[in-house]
Amino acid sequence: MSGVQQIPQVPQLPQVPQAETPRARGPLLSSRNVGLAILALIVVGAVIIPWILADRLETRLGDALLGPSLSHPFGTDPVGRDLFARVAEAARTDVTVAVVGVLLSAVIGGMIGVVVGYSRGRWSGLLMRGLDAFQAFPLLVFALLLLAFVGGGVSTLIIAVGFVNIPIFIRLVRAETLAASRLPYVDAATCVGCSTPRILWRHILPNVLTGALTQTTTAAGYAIILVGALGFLGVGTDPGAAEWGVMIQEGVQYMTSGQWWLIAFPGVAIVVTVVALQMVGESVVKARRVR
Amino acid sequence: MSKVDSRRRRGGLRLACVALGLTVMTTACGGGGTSSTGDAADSGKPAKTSMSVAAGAIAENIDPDAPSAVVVANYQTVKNVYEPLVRFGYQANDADLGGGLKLDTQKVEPALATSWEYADNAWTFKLREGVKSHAGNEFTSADVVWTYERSKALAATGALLWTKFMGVSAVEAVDKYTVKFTTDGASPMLLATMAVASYVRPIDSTEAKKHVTADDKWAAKWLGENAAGFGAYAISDWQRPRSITLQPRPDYWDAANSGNLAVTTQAVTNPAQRLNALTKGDVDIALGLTPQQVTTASQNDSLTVVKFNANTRAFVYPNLDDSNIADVKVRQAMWTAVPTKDIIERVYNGDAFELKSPVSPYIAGYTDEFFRYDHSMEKAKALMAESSKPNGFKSELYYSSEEPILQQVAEILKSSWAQIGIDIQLKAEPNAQLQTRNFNNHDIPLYMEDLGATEVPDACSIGALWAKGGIANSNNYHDDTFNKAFEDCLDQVEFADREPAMKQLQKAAIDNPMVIPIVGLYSTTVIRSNVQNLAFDPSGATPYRTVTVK
Amino acid sequence: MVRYATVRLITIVPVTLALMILTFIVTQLLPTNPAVVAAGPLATPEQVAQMEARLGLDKSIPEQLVAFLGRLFTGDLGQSIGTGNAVIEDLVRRLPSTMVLTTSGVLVGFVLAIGLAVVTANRERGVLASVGKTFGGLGSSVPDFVVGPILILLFYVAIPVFPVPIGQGGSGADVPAVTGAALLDAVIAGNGGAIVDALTHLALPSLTLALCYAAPIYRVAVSSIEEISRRRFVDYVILNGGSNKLRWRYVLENAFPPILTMSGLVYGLLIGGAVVVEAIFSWGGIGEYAVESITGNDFFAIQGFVMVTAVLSMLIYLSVDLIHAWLDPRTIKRSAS
Repeated sequence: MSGVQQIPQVPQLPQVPQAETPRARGPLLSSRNVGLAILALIVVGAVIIPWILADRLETRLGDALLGPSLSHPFGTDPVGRDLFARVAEAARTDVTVAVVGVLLSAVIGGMIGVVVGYSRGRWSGLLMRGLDAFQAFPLLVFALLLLAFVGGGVSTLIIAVGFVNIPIFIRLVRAETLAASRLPYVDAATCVGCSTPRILWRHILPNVLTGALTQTTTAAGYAIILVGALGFLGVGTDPGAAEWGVMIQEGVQYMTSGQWWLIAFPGVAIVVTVVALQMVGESVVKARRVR
Repeated sequence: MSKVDSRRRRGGLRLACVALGLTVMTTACGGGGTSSTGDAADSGKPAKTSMSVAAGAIAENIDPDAPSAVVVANYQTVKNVYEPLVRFGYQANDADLGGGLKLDTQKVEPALATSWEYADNAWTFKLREGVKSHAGNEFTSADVVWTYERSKALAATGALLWTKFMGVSAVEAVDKYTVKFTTDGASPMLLATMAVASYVRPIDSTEAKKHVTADDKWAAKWLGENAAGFGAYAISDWQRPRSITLQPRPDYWDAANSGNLAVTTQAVTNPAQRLNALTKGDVDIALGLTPQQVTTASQNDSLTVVKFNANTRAFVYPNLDDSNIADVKVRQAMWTAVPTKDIIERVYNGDAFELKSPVSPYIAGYTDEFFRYDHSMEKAKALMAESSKPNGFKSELYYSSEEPILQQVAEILKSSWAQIGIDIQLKAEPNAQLQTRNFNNHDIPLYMEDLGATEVPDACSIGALWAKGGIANSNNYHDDTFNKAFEDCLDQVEFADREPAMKQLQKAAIDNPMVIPIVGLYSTTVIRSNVQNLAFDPSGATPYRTVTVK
Repeated sequence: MVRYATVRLITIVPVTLALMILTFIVTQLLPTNPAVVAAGPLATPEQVAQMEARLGLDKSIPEQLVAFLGRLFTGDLGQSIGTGNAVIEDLVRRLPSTMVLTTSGVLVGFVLAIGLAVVTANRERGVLASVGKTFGGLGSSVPDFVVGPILILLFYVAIPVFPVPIGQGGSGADVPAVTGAALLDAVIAGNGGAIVDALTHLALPSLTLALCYAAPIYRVAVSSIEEISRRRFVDYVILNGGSNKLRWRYVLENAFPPILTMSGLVYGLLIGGAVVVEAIFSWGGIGEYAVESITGNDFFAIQGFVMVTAVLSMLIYLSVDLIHAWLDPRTIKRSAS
């Protein structure tokens, strides 16, 4: 869904046994490979295109609002910058914020989740109720609040993205930890007298990791949409910074005069990135189910 | 301007905005004699009878003295619904600014009052007879007295204007149509304040008193939702928070200059959508567009950009408690080092002007003759060398993180001030936090904003803001020449007698700057080209009474 | 059932309380002094002090918390500096608009999702299958701030089928503002023209919501329908010569609870989360109010919005759970164990 909130999983659909048989290696064009390839392209593009086309990112009022053509594949923006280079430049902001923010929340949320899941104390119940309250609340509005009180900029965006995702990771990792800690070899390790940190590190963590990784890609997809929505609403990035949501917002005022490309290309960029992240995420889920 | 617009509060200094409150109507009743109805008649086409406005937000509480009355959206309604005792005349705005009607700030005209005179610390106003309120009650001196008592009791913006700008210490009814204001000295800003500020406009006390309750002695709840004034317009439909429709009142006292159009204002949060609706012809006026959108609109033949020389400016407020900035020479050097032309070209696309006095150019008593800070890095360096900080210093410039345009201005200032040895760190912070810090904690060395609309259109008003005990004086400004000039300013009633003092006041404010002016901004409205006689109001609201649509 | 409902209702209490306390703590942490904000921009230090006293900010933290909770229970959410009205009034005036928008969005999305699921379920190949797959996948990736402008571009600018995408239409002096939502007011006034006008204004925003938020409902619908179709009792219906219609009835009846749950989740999140769509279409609901309050530092308005949406979404989740339990009583047993 494309809003900015992640909808929690539906409570326990009875699992249908999968018809597929496990394969050692997927086909070359598996959704995971395609997704990874697109992501690689985006990252490489974000790094080199603004560098190669640096002169096209300069304001050139004479070239303002040109439609897509061979020399400007995505057209130009209201101040004559090449939109292709600009979209690539914006990928830097969006992808960095999404990836760093989500990784941050995965690490912090993951640590809390493992501890809470393994300790099973009275406090963990209380914490989960607190998270319930927290998650009843729309992520976008929560991020807006953070930004309003802390100020905009890439680092604040990263914090906002990280913050809103922490509860999701706590919940997920806690559940996985609970499940993993019931496995016989964990009991065995406990009996042998292994220390708690060692059990957590050697026996629980590897089990928990895959789930958390999957969630990382999915969450990064939502994070891109979240950052875009914040930009669209006019908060978040530094003024003048390239950002997909901001570019779409700027494009809205040119709708009636026919410059559709100002909305279309940044929009496509968001969709492609999010889809690629989802393809990777889903393929990991499938792979796990098969296992 | 935040893209999300526009209920944004103007903060502390914006007091001014307060002050500005209003100017309803009056077409060129005195001034250029532009008869609004005439144009439509000439064209042969029937004039339209309704008009639609896209604004960032609409009024949701129309109590003229509510705290929220500092919001432009509220002025938009309040100023059209309430009528002042006196008003300014209009004159034609410069054609290259898009035409329309600007204020003649030296010409005060009768409105609800027909005549007035000053003698011995008291102003006496003769009131117009037979004026009817929205509820049909007759306007009397009791309404003026009640409005004053109400402001005093609420101790909000109105009280501030009555005391600080109008210098009024008591209001009494001499007879049914005569009212006497006891003032502290001549208090010459009284008229200008009345003419613009909506906070002090007479309320229909007969009607309001019917809605007084034990908890609400001044009918704040009822006045928030009902118009009880004597203005040109009445509210005919109000779908909060989306739209409000004002209808011209047939029994408005100035029938010859009453409004022509029913005006529906719609709240359109997204400025881009306001422009789209205007371009498509679904609305006639769009308010609060971004500079970039104004540029887009100016290229469209069916749209007209109307600019008024207003009181919106980008200012840097130095904190004089900071030992670096306390030195006059340092502030003079900083002013001289402001690359005004560069900022106007690069940041505002040429759509701004140089400020040569802390007073806005449209204001009565304005002068640029003492300005001596033409941009020059050599002069700035020389001033720094003479100062107590010849080797420069480090400082911090704060501004709202919600205003992207300020970031660009700040960067230009940073590089320019770096050349005279002032190493500025830029600090963008959320508005709320900045206001607390600037006005309460005073822990910000340099504060920049571009909203400031801080005056009653009378050059004396900078004295009320910055002299000893001035309401805007949160940065500890103190200058004896300035204080003396302000006292002189308050001594006389006639403009000609006060003008020398007004000039002295500006000279003192330039010699020892309490603010570092960066650029002046126009008050800009974009209209369909068939909309005519759009009039200026210092609050940013639109007085509908003069407007016609062909 | 009654016992289950009671237990679920009671669990809401601590969560709500936690939320209120959380809001209070956040308030304490903010760098902004609410008294300064509430006193307005022209306040003198004395007025700020008075306001602090009025808001009880001069008391100890635990005392403040008690007072804060006490005000909440009397419905006093403070005064908005942006509108000048009581925050509770502002919210009450806007909530119906948001409810109309989100309800219609979820309804359209629900119908769209189920319809598409019925024709695409159990299909591996073909045009329909790929339409379904595309919607299930892309629907989660196309943001509302892209879909909204594109719909406006298509249906207002290029082919002007719908009126100017501003507000809710339908109003006018002959339609008194009762609820604040144009569609409901038009229905109450029984004004046909106004109803049609309100509906045409509702079309694009609610379609945007449906397109952007129905994908999860669709995915659940497909997997649920596919799962149920494989159950033995369906084969039994077919073996007994049951008509296609009868088979679908059985399938849908049984596939329904998870679909409903997902729709409820989407609905709950949209109550406070239709912010972007409201902003694009100048809808005048609580989402826009939240954005305005946040950018305008309207402290008490933000606080009020947080409370009201959180409580509302929890109530929606609760009712979804209850309906689910009623449709599928096994839920109760499962949750008890």
